[in-house]
Formats: sequence, C-alpha cells, structure tokens
Amino acid sequence: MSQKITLDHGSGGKLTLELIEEVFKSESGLDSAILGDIAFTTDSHSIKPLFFAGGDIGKLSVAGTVNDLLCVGAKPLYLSTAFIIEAGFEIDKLNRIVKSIKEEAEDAGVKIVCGDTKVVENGKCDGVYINTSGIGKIIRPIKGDNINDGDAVIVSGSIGEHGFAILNQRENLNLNTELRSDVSNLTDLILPLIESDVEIKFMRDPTRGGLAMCLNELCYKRDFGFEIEESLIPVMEDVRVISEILGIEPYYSANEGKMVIVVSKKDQDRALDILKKNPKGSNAKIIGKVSKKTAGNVILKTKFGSTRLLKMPVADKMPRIC
Amino acid sequence: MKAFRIKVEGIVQSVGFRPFIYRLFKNCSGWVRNSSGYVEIYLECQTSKEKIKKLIKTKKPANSQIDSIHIEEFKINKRAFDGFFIKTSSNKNTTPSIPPDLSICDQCAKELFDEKNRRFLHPFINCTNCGARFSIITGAPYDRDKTTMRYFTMCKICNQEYNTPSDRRFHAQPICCNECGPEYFLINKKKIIAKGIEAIKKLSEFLTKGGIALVKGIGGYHLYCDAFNEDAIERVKQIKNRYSKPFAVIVRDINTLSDYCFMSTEEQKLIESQIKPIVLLRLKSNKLQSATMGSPYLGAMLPYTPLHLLIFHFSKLKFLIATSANFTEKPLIYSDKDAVNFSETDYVLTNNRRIIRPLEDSIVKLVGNKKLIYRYARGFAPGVYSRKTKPNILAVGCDLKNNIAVSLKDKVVLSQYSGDLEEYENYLRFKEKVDDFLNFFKVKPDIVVCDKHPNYLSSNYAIENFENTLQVQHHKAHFASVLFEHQIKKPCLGVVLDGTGFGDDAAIWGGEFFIWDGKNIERVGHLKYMPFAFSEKAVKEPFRLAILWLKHLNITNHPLFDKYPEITKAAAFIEKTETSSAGRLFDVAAVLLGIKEKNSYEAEAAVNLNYEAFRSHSKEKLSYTIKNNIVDFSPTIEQLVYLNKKTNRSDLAMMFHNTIIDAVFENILNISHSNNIKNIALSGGVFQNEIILSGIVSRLNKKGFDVYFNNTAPINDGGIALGQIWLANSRLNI
Ligand SMILES: [Fe+3]
Ligand SMILES: [Mg+2]
Ligand SMILES: [Zn+2]
Ligand SMILES: [Zn+2]
Repeated sequence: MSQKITLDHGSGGKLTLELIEEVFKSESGLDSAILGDIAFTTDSHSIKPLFFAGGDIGKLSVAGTVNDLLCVGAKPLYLSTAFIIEAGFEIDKLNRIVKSIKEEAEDAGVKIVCGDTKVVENGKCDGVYINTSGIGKIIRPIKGDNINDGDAVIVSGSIGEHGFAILNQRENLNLNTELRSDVSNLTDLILPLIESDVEIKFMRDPTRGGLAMCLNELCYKRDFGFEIEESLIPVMEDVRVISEILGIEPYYSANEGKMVIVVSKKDQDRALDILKKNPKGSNAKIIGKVSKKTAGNVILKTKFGSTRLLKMPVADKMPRIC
Repeated sequence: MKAFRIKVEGIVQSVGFRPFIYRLFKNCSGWVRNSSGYVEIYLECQTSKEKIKKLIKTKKPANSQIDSIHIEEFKINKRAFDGFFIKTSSNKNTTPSIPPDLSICDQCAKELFDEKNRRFLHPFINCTNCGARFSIITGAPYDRDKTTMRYFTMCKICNQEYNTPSDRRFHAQPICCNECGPEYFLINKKKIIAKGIEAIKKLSEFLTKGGIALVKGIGGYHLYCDAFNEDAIERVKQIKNRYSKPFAVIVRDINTLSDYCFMSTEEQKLIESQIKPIVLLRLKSNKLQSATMGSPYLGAMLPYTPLHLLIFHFSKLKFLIATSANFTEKPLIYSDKDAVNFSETDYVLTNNRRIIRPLEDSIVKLVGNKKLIYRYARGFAPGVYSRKTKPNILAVGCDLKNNIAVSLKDKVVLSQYSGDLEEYENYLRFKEKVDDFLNFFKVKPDIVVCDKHPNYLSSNYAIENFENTLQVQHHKAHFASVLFEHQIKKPCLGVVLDGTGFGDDAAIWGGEFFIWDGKNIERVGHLKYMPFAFSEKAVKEPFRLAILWLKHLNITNHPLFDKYPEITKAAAFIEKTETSSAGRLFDVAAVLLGIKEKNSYEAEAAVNLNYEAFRSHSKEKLSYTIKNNIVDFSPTIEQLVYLNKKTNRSDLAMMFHNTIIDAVFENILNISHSNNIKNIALSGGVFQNEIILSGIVSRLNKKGFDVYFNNTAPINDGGIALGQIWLANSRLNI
C-alpha cells in the first residue's frame, strides 16, 4: 500500500477496499451493522457542486444513509445529521440544504432525532460536509452469506446517472443534456420487497465505483462471481452519450438512487414484479446471474458475443492499452 | 581402456538426438538415454574428449540446440557392455526441455506422395525431425505416453520402426501410419460426411469452389478459404467481424510466393525454416488486395503440416487464407467440441488427435537480416535461453500481448502468446498457461514479477495468488529484455519507443531514455509530456488525443474541432494526465495527416502512417527541440498541421518519420557522449516500424555504436517477460 492517502483511496475502488482492510483492520462487509433487531449505519457526504441537477448534498445525505439501512433488510427509522460548515458559507444556501434534508427524510419515512454543527476556518473545508447516521428496525437480516450459483442479479433501474450528471456539471462539460442525478431514497421501492417472502440474498446501492465496483466488491476473494449481460443493463441514452464522449463506461459511474439485488432464481420474476409496481423501479431488470465458474470475477457478455472482465476500478484514468 | 560420462544440455529431446548418438557411436560400447532436461551418455571408446565434443557439435541433428556438453573421462579395465544401445528414459527430477512444434520435414514430405511408401497420403506423417511436439505433450520427459498420441496403439510395423535405433522414426513419439494413426473427419451440420483421405479430398474440392471451412491444425482451428475468392473472403470478414486487419495466407510453394512477393535469400530461409512462421513480405502487385486489405505486405507461410500439402495436392489453389478461428478478441478455438458447435461455416475438418495447448501462428518480419518478431507462438514457444538466475522466477508479462516466462536454475523459458487478457477467455488461458508452465517445468517460483500498472489483470493475478511479488516499470522491462537477450554486461543506453505503460511518476510513459550503468537503471530522458485523457478511448480513437494536443498547443482552428464538437468541448475541461508516449505521437500524426482517425485494431493508425511513408523518398525533416535530454515534438505537430494539404501526404508522412529518427538519434548522441556509453539497446512496439528501426540503427552504426534490439523475442510487449526476469534477478533500482 502506498504511504500517503490519495484521492483514489476515497474513490470507492480497490484502494478504498485495501485502506479499510489494512488500516481500519475491518472487513468492508455490509452497508450497515446488524445489531440484533437494529440496523445502524453512518456515512459522510461531500460533493462538488453542492447543488446539482436532480438534487443537492442535503438530499444526498439522507438518501445515502436510508438506502444503506435498506440494504441489510431494515426499515429506516431515525437519522442524525452533523454539519461541518466552512466560515463564509451563505446562510441562504444552508437553508436550502436543510429544507431538502427535511423533505427527503419525510419522503423516506425517517425522523431526524439529533444533530451537530461545527464551523471551520475558511478554506479548511469545501462549503459544507454532512455526516448522517441512521437506525433502522431489522425486518429480516440480509447478510449476503448464502449466495448460490445461478442466483439472479437485478438492478432497480438505469445506471450511471448520478456520476455523469455531477461530472457534466462540475467539469463544465455543458453537454446538451437533461441528465439529472438519480439521488433518491428507496424506502417505498425496497421496503415492499423486504416485507415480501422473496428470497433476497444480498442488496447494495451501487454508489462510488458504480455497478462494476458493487459487484466486484461482493465477489472479491469469494467462491462465486458474476456473469452479466451487457445488453440487459438499463442505461439512459444521455448516459450513453456522455460515456461515449468521456471514454468512461457507465458501469463505473456512481448511482445514488439504485439498488443491486441478488435473489434466488426461483423468485426473480416475483422480485421484478414487486419493484415494477413502484415508478422508481419501472426500469428494473435482471442483468445476469451468480456464477461459480467465474469465482472472484465479474464478467460481462458483450453485444458482440465476447466476454470480458469488468474490472474493479483502480486508477480509471490510466489506460491499460499499450 | 577409456570410458566417458557425457551430459548434453539444450534442446536435445524429441529432435532425434538419441538415434544420432547411437549412429555416432554404434561401433563402440555403452548407452545413451534421456534424462529430464538433458541427454546422458556412457561411452567406452578409445578416443578423446575433444573429439567427442567436436563430433557431437558438428553433426548434431538439425533441430537440436546444444547449450553445453559436459564430459568426464576415466579408465576402465574391461568393457561393461557388448555394444551401444539406447536405454529407456530416467525420470530424475530436473528441468525438462521440450522443443516447439516443427513443420513437416523434406523426407516425410517426399514419402507422403510416394505411392510405394506405407505412409502414402498419411495426413499425420512425422519423424524425429518433424511434427507436433509442444501442442500435444502432457508432461515430461517427452515419451509417447506423455502425448495425446498415447490413445493410438502403434501397429506392428510402426512399433518396429520406433524400436530400431537406425530408423529415422526411432523413438519418434507421435509415430503413426495409415494403419494406426489418428484420422481426419469432414463434418457438415454436426454429421460426419467423409473420413480420412476422402475428407481431405472433399475439403479441397469445396475450398476450390469458394467455400469456407473450419480446419484443425497443429495448435488450433483456422478458417480457410481461397485467397482469390472475393465472396469467400467477404464471408470470413463477416464471421470474424474484421474488415481492415490483413489475413495471413498459406501459399502452395516458394515459387508461387516469389511471383507475388519480393523475397531476399534470408527471407526465403526464414519462411522455409521448420518454424514456419507467418513472414511479412513486400507485395509485388496488388492481386491479393482482398486478403491484405491494402497493406503493402503479405503475411505468408508455407505448408507446415501434411494436411496443408495434401490440400494443395488435391486442388489447384495457390493461396489459402488461414486465419485463426475466433471472433475478434476471443481466443483461438482449439477444442473439438467448440469447433463442431461452430455453425458459421458449412464444413469443419477435424481429427481425433487432441490438442493440449492452443498455439497461434507466429508472425515475423526481417529487418536487414534480423528477425522482428510480432507474435511469438507456434514454432518458437517454448523458447529456451541458457541463463543462470539465482532465484526461480515467474514473470507474468503484460496484458495486451501476453507471453510469460519462467526461470529455472540454468534456463529461462518464454511461453506462447495469448491475446488481450481483458477478454475473459484469454484471461482464463493466461491462468492455465501459468499453471501449465509451473507444472510442466516443475518450478516453484521464489519470486513472481509483474508490471507496475495498477490496472493490469496479469499484475493483479500475480499479487493475489503469490506471496513474494515484485512490480517493475514497463519500459525498464522493455530495456531489460534487450539486456537479457544479448547478455549485455557493459553500461548501456536504452531507448524505448512504445505505446503506453505506467510510469514511476504515475504519468503514462512510452518514449524513454534509460542508462544502465551496471548497477542501476536510471531514466535520463524522455519525450516531452503531452496531455492525456479519455482513458482507453484515446488509444482506440486517436482523433481525441489529436484534439487535446492541438488545444494544448493553442492551435485555435482545425477541421477536427468542427467534426467532433463534443469531444472538442470536453477536451477543454476533462481531467488530464500526462504522457511521453511515442506511440501516441504516431497516432496523432496519422490523424493530422488525415490517414486514420480511429483504430479498428491495435496501432492501425500508426501502421497506416508507416505505409504512407513507404510511398515517399523524401529526405527532409520537420523541426523539434531538445532540452535536458527531453525531446519536444510540438514544433513537428504544428508543422504537420500547417503543411497538411500544402505538401504531398506521403512526403509529410516520411518527413515525420525522418524527424523521429533524427531527434532520437540526436538525443542518443547527447546522452551517450556525456556518459561515455557505446552500447545502445532499442525496444518497444514503435520499433516494429521498419523505417524507424532501420533508420536509427544505421545512423548509430555509422557512428560506431554497438546497437542491440530484440530479435529472438518480440520487440513489443510479448518480450517483456524476459526483461521482468532480468530485473527480478538483478533487483536493481526497479
Ligand atoms: Fe510496451
Ligand atoms: Mg454508504
Ligand atoms: Zn519428418
Ligand atoms: Zn502404424
């Protein structure tokens, strides 16, 4: 491991995984801790720009934590919010962020029960950082410990929007696009699934590192892998266009309102039916399956009939090509 | 009376070495046998050590290679043996050696068409001097029961030949005949429609009529069709989804080939050698354009199996397209099951001899009289170098062209090629190849060396599966591969002109000047950094880099900006890294000259720029600057933009080449002068460009430099594993 923290260590890719393993000496494991009947999680949020097409840091900080609770089979109940604010930050903007937090919390069915505020010197932080912690009630624990050959992999909707929307705005690409972040809590989409008797093996919101990271992390050093069909992955046209322009595949772009769900094959259609009842799940798709044959690897079957490895993102700007 | 214990090392097994020794000493007494990795001789004879050594060395079989002969002499009172005989192999636990697959020899070829011979028209005819080896061997030492020929019981006569020391087929492990050998089958819609020689006859007729077929060869399946039949070629293009990368051909005979191509004596020797690689030859006419897709070269090989000879015998075909059977990027088909299930062709010609290792055809070009190896596979692999290394090392090579290497105590073995590891099936073959080499050569690596690139699958594989790993910089490994190959002991200046590799400073390197002073490798110069973005797309679509560089050089107006407005817009804001890559410079030049904006295969733009330059004899050059050993081609790029359309395109292409030669040469002069170095090593994919390589070499030779470059291993990434071995063994500044 390199001796200094780099931005890549926080990119959610392989280096993040190593950082967690080697420094924090913890397995990256599940999105939330399962403590008997209680699920507990925490997440810090920093984003540039703070306000973006489709949302802002406030909405993001609620949705992220709520979705992490849902991942382990919990009904999200309570949230704390802690702000780190840069001196000089406009109160008006703060008001907007707080308002958006309230709205998203209401939509997600969670109560904000405590909070904290710190102000740091100008230049010591980039506008505002928000940490949220959340508590949920376990409906049924989903631990990802019973994943079998042939289990179905579902995504709850089209992928890559958040990452590319942010990039488009931050890098001032000004590409003619209506692209918006998909940031959203998934309570009303996922809770019915948890409450059903569909055999859910695993859930994760594919945030940093995108779908590629999410799947790779799940099978990293495990005795199963994934076979994904490229043609089945839902991708919006605008995402495709940006992906083409930037040379970044949508599988590596972050999502903030999507869920990757592994269910037993026998229940795959029922799971899909439940998701599709909610507008947020209207684009839900079975994109592939768990495979013992490809243990430790995520392979993508392309439209041209070839199969390639969907790698864990490391330093994605670096082409492998010679 | 005198006796001798003799140990001969090198490629001495399965090349007729023991029968040769038998014939040499049959009037003396003693024995000869294969040990794992060498041949052992006990000889009772009134002669001298020197004589024995000379005899063996001068008369050795054509395909053998002697690395060392160790002779121990002692006195005996009386003979222990009556005559000289061949003992069965001893199974000692030392390093085995296996020669590559060899093309059919002249004697076998003659017998094949001799009606009186018992192997008349036998499609598997072979002897100790020829035939399949590496592709059908399951283990060492090399014996019939360790090949896939073990499923075929020798008939009486074959058995007799096999056991007669004076016979050419004495211990020819794959020996067989029409009675007892494997058989060919012609399959149509999964049904066998003909067998044996009938199958081959039918196939020949079918190919003559313009059909395409999937045909089993030595190391896998090929797609065959008549190279003059446009429709057939069109269908092959569709099947392979390959529309601009030339196809290789098998040509009836050397005379036919010389009607179509220029061929030097050296080139003829190479194409006729038993390696039988695809040799790139300059075309005389454009009659084979559909096969070569506009390339000035024809990739041609002579028939290397009895089957090839039979097909030409039963038909009037002159050239057969023989392209490995795969979809683009996918690996070669070599299992019979996959072949039979392949539904894209009307016919499949298969046989019941199993292939153990898939091996593609090797590709070579001669520059001067030196080999430039583009692809190192059938006929070359496994390639053995006699080198002593302290630890046992496994080198996993690179991702895009993968050849691995293992070092055993006293030899280093370079593997066959696999394609881009990102393609999952190639990755699986890479893993199989690593396991195969470790098992086959019975080696437990003390250290596993890989590329420093954080995204290389080969590197991640090494790190995840082995304890003691070492990551080395890509271009230092390129440089070291030359130091390895030529066993350079004196300080040396290394020039690596390449595509892209991960640099020590996390930039993308690819145009590097190094000094090895006998202790360390130090980067002393490079091409000036230019911006890089758009990830792998920038390599596949070089117009993106062209736009980026034009913007960087403050060129405000260019047709590319209008043609690609989104990319132009994005280029201004996208996050950038830096590159010193020479390959990318060629890409950009090709784009700016309007030659190619997107690559459909690796380096297509650069290759076409090279071809364009062939049409010119311009001696002129463009401008560049050098400061502190850093070569800046910005003025060159500006001139390309300015002169484009004002100057003949071919001339500009040639002037660009001249510029690179001039600049690299000047930088070499500067660096070598201030460091007092006389040895120059050249490596990297850009040196596959003949104009650049021979241009730089001849300028250096004129100045009295000793110039070395890769010519027994690929100069591209296929040779990197050898450099990795060298670096791991010296563990210097890496
Ligand atoms: Fe290279
Ligand atoms: Mg989280
Ligand atoms: Zn022969
Ligand atoms: Zn026989």
